[in-house]
Amino acid sequence: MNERNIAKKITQYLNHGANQLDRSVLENLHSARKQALAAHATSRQVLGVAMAGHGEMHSGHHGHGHSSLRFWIPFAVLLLGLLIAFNWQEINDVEPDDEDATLLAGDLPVHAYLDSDFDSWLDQSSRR
Amino acid sequence: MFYCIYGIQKLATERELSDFLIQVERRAFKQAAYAVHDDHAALDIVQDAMMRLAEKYGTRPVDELPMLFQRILQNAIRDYFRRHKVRALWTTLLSSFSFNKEGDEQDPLETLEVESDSNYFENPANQLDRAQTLAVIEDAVGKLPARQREAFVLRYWEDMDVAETAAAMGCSEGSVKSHCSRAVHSLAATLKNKGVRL
Repeated sequence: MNERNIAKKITQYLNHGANQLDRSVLENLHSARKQALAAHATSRQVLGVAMAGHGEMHSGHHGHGHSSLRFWIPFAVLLLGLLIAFNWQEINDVEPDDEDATLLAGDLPVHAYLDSDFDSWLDQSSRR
Repeated sequence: MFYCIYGIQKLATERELSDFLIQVERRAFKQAAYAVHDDHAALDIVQDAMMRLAEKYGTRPVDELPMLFQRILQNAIRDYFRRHKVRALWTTLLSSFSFNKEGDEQDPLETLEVESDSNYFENPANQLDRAQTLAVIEDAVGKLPARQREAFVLRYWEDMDVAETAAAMGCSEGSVKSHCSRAVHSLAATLKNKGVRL
């Protein structure tokens, strides 16, 4: 008797055993199957939503304007923020070279700024 | 985009998945039970395998489900043994039964007698004998080394071809043939020693 025939006979017995499972085992298997099918339904729904979103992104018809708007608004906000920050920095940025040039080009001698009495004179002048 | 739409058309429906699980769940339970020798653990393994199939691969084409399920089931059984290393050690020791006595050169496949009546299971007079034979066979299958049992079950019980069995087991086709041959010889020797006629 060859290997395949013996295996066939053995599996006939195994099939017979599989068809004689206890009721409690069958109930548990039924319950497990139901849970698996519920999980399958959920995964299909998730996939369906993902595919619908994918289709919308590529359709070019319904929802195209909304998709474009959703893309451009954050980009525009970012650009505007960068422009404001750049201008703010430019306004408040005092170049040291400009300050030196102003001091040297003024009528007042440079050493006057080092005189401590000059500060008190300025205070008094401003109070008047 | 087109690939995705094509994929959706090929997906297994809930009905197809349900039919598939109904078809395999009993054998899957028995496979797990032969491996772990514990009905409760076997039920947990089958439930886990069903959930994994449904959640991760339930949207694959229905033709791929048998192979995927068997891979998941076998991995779940291996995971069980990884979690129970001590018990796995004892199982391996107990399963390493030898079927060749010294000086016994006879091939058990040549001497095993097979019942010629194809309606053997339908004969009420043979019910007790059948139950005893089934018990011996299930015990012997449960005591096979894990890889031999896996190969035997996939190749002959799940009716996969050698290539499919090799893919499911993650080994070469030569290994599958070797495991199957050893498994059948081992089972035949055990049955012969127990005086069982198939």
